Amino acid sequence: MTAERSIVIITSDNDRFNVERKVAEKSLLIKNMLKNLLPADGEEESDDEDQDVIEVPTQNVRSAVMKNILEWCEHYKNTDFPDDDQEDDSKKSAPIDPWDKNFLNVDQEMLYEIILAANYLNIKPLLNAGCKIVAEMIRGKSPEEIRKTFNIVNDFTPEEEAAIRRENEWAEDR
Amino acid sequence: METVHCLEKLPNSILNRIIDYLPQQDKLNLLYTNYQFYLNVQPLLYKNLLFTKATELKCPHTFDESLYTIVGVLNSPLATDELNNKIYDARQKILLEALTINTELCKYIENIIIEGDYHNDDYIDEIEDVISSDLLNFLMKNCLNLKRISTFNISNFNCIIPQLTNIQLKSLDQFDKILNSKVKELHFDSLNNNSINMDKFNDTDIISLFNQLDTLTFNSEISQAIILKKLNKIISESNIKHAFTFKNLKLVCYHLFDDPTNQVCSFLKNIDFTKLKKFELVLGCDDMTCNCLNNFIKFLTNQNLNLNSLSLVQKTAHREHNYTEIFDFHITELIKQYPKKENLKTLSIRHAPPNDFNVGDGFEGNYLHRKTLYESIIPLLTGLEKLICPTFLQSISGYEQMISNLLWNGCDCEHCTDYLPIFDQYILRHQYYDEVKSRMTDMISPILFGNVGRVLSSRLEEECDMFLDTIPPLNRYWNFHSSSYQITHMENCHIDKSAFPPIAICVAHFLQEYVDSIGSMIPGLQRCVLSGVFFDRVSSEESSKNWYCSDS
Repeated sequence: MTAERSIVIITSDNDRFNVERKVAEKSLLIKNMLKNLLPADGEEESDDEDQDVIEVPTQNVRSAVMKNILEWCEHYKNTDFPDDDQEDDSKKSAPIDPWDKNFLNVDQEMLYEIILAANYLNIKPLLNAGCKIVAEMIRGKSPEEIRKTFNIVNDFTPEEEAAIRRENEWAEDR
Repeated sequence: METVHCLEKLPNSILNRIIDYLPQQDKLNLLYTNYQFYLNVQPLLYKNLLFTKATELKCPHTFDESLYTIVGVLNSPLATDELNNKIYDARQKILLEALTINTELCKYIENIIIEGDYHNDDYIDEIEDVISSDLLNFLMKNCLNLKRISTFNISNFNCIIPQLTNIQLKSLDQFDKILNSKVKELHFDSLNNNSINMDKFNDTDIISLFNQLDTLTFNSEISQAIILKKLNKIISESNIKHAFTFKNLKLVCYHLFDDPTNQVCSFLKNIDFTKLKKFELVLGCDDMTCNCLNNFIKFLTNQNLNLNSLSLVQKTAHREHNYTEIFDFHITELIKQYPKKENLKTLSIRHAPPNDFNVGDGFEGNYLHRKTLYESIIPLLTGLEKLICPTFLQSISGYEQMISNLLWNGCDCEHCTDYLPIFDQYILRHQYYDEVKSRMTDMISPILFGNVGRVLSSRLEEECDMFLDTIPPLNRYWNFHSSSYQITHMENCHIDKSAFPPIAICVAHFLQEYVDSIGSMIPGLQRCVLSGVFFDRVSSEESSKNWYCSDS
């Protein structure tokens, strides 16, 4: 194979990350972008020397977040995830991968930023793992504890609260 | 990117994903926090409803509990049936009232499952036992976004309304109702009327029905024979090459009087196998010397299969070790010869042990034969994430020596040291009706643990094993007395369903050894479900504590 052209991801704060194509392609957004810019591996006809470096701007992701995202992509660079968008039912109930769980052990703000970036870059397995982490943070907490953990302000009047409780009482798990 | 400080500011698409992973009580608790979450949670709380006189099995390390919202009974094995019925009725009334007052809620409901209670004496519930007709009629009439109403473990209920895309057909009389409908998932259950004349239906309509299906399952060889005969005839007459694009398919290949292999293979030649993801096969042949399954497996492994999920089901029960061993031989051959086995993510294997767990030649050597067969294929499944064996404990119960180890040479943890003597006493004091001997006989450990296994595996109830992981597992209890044969005791017996959770833990400790050994053969395995006992790998480190068990 001819020398691979390097890919440079540029973040919103203008940091530049040199990455392997395999790593960058964990993002379906970038993968599709590269598909248009670069011929697939193996059938390269790289005579255009100026094009040796492909720059991928990601205006929505700042450097600190991108660093995390790329660490995740690096870890999974040899894992094949199905490209199709369809949520697999059996994947939905699976536990969070222990490595992901440890990787996503960050403060709430960073967690949201990673989730948003995974959403923007279209990295489904990371997006799902992030959402499962947030779901685990909600699990087992009372409404008041959830409000406290996530800074949610209760805007119900006591009457509304009573009506909502009544409406959904059938689902109470007791 | 704008900095997001709180959960509320995440876009709705992401919030919905998070909410979708919450068990129902946590969905409720989030819904109660404020108005925004009330609006966000409600559609997902009402989307999938499961009606059953049971409660959810808690799976704190996985997300099974988030799959359906359960309308069920009280969370305690001590609750009496009377109290549970009262609560269950009240919950249905409140739901009906909520839907009547706030009709907006109706449009959120998409999937309904109605699941009969499990009775170890083989009694099957009627639909009225499980859902009030007021509520059911209201749901069918007002929920216009309904995609499915499925019933499991319920006799004789058939519901075909125009909005459904997932249909269980229980009588071919209603076949015309699904022609030209928008059905995508079609299940042929055991049929009431088999004398139907398929020729009265239009050929083009039949072909276009099968062309539009994502899921096709046959749960009875009789309905399958009627449908496939017609379908094969239309195709051979039209001389057009068809390529059905099923994603999920279940077929029965059971050699009874006629060998169905030809019929099934001609049908399979019209399938685009690249689209097929889940495949379930019910296999059986009642002639030891017959070669039909061999031929079928040869045909199958030469197709361009690339499955995510494979389910294998033994069709007939035999009171003979050799018949089961030959079934194991065939399915292990199938897996050995199947080219893309490393892409397989889910495998389920269901055997058909006899009801009284009395297999002839049930001695240790024969058990070891079968074990060796499986040990030869398990390491080949390098991509496997999930292994489900609904009849694992029942099969082992056929080997008295092996299952007695559970009771007398088993785990010596505090729990088992406390409880196993109680079950030992149970065996001493009970008798059962032995069909082979035709008389009441002293209780033996195969009967005790075989029945425990049956009850435990009813935690997961689906017509198709390939969909077992799409519904949340339920708690089931056994009173140690009801069974499909008589179980009696001599003096007063105090053992009741409250002793079931403790025996489930003893069983889980017994199964742990198997799970550890399977887990070391398949390092990527995440979940192993043996007779309804769930083991989820929670840490990748090599240690005995890396599995979380539903019964601990």
